[in-house]
Amino acid sequence: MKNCQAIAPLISEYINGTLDSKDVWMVQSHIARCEPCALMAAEFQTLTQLLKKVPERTPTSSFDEKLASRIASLPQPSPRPRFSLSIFWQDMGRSRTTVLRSAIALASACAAVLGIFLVTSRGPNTTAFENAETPLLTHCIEQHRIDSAAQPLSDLSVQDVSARQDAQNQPSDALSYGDDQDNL
Amino acid sequence: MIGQWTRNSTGLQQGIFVSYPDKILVDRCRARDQSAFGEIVARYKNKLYSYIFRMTGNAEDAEDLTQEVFVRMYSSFDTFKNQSSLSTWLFRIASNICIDSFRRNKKNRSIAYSLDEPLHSAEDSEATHEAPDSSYEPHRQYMRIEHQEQIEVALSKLPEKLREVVLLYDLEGAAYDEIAEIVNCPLGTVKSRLFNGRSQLRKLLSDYVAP
Repeated sequence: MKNCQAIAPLISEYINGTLDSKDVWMVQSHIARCEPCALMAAEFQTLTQLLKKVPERTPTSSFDEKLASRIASLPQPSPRPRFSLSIFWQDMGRSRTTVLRSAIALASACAAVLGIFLVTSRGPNTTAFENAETPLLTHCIEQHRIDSAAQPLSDLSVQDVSARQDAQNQPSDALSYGDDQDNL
Repeated sequence: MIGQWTRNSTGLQQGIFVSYPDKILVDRCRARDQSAFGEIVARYKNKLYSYIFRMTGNAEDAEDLTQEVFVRMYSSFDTFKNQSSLSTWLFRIASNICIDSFRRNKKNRSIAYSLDEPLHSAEDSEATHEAPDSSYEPHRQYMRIEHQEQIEVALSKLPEKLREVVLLYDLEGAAYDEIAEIVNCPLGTVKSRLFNGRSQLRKLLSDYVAP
């Protein structure tokens, strides 16, 4: 069971009707058993009723006239233009940084897309892959030819690829080593 | 003329916007409609004056400061973003003006009430005090008036931070979150100040609240 020190601050909210149901039950259970807290609740209730009846104060009857004079003596504001970039920028306030960052990110993304588009569209009927891959494949074949010529082995797997392909194209007297696909 | 307030020779205009909600009045004020401004003044001047009077304890100062609230409102409609209600905005201005006033004055603001003064500060008020006379019946009215005076005295004795929350919640009927916005403090602090303010009032007004 909660003690008075924990319950007392809740009594004010209990009187206001702003506690949730769990806390209402807790306060009601406590004040049913605790005379000082029950007294506090009753006196808070009376106090709030007295405060609600305190009448509104009113200013003097010349209030409106004095206010009108003060308003009349204020400088007239200049007409607000329909749209002004400086006013728009000023009205942005704290949103400026967010907008700037978003604009920069969007511009970067557009530049990246444009760059990719320009790089990939070099010539008609060719793809970047093909344009990049053909010289590379030729180089690999050539390098392999050089390496295999430098260190010939009986292992069929290092036979010159182009020579074996040529041999494959000569069906009658070419040596047959089986399915080339097994040797590649 | 676009951008200029429309004026007439009689000063503030009131009446045609009596049933309009506050938001519409604010929009009309942005369009420089003097009648809408007059309606806002009519709606809020007593509430603001009561609050400021009980915060400052001086009727003349309270009247000047209440006018200052409306002057500031008049000058800043274009910057009011409608994120809070009009009443919250006005009381926020009033609270800030009271703080500025306290800093300028830094004097004791306890209110000395006289039973000879009228209950209302308006010049045409007819509410007066009566001496207790057992042969003349409205002792009940006297008791009620005395209660109210004692309550005003007790309120004046509260520290300013507690007093403003009690005034806003118990007298003006503002909600916790509105008060938090007005006095610029967390919700928990509002509840704590309300509890502490009421606890002090309970002791000051023990003769009136005891069952």
